[in-house]
Amino acid sequence: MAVHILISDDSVSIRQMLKFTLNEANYSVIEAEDGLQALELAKSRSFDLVITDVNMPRLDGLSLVRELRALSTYRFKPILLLTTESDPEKKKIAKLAGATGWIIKPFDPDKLLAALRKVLR
Amino acid sequence: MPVDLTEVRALFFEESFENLDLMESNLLDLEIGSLNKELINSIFRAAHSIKGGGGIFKLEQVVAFAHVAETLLDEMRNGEHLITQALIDLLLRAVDIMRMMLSSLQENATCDIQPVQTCQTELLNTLKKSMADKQVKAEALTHIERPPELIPVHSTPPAPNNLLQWQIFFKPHPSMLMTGNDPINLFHELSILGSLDIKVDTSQLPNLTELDPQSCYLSWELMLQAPVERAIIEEVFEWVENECELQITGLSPSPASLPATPETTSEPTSPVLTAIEPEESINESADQETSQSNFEPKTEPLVSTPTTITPPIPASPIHNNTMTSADSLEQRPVPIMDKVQPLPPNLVSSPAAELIRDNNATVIANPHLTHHTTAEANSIRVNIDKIDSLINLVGELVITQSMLDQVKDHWIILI
Repeated sequence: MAVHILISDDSVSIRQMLKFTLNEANYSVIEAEDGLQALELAKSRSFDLVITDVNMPRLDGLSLVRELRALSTYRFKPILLLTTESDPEKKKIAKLAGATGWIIKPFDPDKLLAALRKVLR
Repeated sequence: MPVDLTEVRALFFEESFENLDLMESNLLDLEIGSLNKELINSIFRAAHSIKGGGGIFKLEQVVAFAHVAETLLDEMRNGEHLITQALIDLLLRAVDIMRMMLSSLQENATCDIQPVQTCQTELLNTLKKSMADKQVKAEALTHIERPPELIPVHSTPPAPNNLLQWQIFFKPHPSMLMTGNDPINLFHELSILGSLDIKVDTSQLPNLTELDPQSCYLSWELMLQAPVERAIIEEVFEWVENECELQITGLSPSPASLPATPETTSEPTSPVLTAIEPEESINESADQETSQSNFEPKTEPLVSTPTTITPPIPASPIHNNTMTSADSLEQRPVPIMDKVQPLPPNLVSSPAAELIRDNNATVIANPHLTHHTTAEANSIRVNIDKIDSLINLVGELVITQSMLDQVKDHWIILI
């Protein structure tokens, strides 16, 4: 059964990089350009995993995580943040928002897939 | 996984030039003395995207430069700078510099480093931050001295030299499952590193009527034989380090107990183990309790938890219950001991006991159990698939509960 992943990033190249890598690993990927679009997509169907950037127009990543956690469908679903920050304080804020974990940018495909293994079976 | 990112890299350059155009346009729209957060946010995001994408393609010089510009923009949006013409001009110069750097990299041409350094120094001098500023400066200057280059996306991890044995005590906080983290996945990740032995402690599991399906009541003791450093193991638990008690203890098995291959050590060997590294605990409270023993050489495995008596673990049971990278959790359950031991009285009538009986789980064969009180004898070995199944069932319960809540709310509205 295919694993469906929602990726949310305002950068086309980051989205392409994610999509390319995840498709190669046989994951099904849907893209969102910002947090608001991601939220709408997440409400319209159930994804197994959400990967989101932090800094996005309209709705930022942390707000998206909070919104998703308020939905019963995503209460326990893994949600990963893409971030360039490795500051422990920022990580704490991410956890408080309800993020499962984070992927530090820059990441290579191996690191990305290793991160996914920690949340997907 | 080798991936050809040529097309994505081309896309990155295209997008970065668009972002630079956007930055330029937004900077020109800024009004002197007025803090237009929306515009500054937009400029910030553009710089942030260039930095993020540049990092993926290992364009370190671009990343370092964009990072300084991004930091300044962050300060601007926080109202730490008055918007002046000089500030706008500086950022416009920064945009030009980034455009020049990216053009050079795109064409694999040499980049003139002098204007880059000059502009970066100006940006650094404009920053308000003190501590972070120094760090940024140090990082930036390190990067700036390097010539622009493209480093291959993939790197091979260093070859491990020694097979090490690690004892890991892992007790998630009850709320850990609520952030989407699942212990099974973490164990799976550990099993990829080497051979993994898993013991679960169900002593904290309440009766079914008192059980909160959203909480985690289990804890685990793991023995990992893998040629990895502590940092690699800590990385596996990185996302849950503030949501669990975690103790990672380095153990050096005696030479006789070190397996040449996983299949060659089925004979019992000496259980004598020596601590080769001080035990570290991510959990502060646990750290206090174990700190005294951490730095003393041990001739027996460390007792690691105030709630669980951890028996000495002979080499052969470890081997008999191991997982290797070839045997994933999904493919191979953790084997159980041949001989079933009687359950301790405190577990006999509990749901955990039912679970144990139903799933052919066994109490660990351990002669020390007979010397302890029954309250201490609470470590059991359970087929990992059964735990998986249990967690899935709990998940189903949660979903059902949520659905019932929704139905109830719906009816309340109708009434």
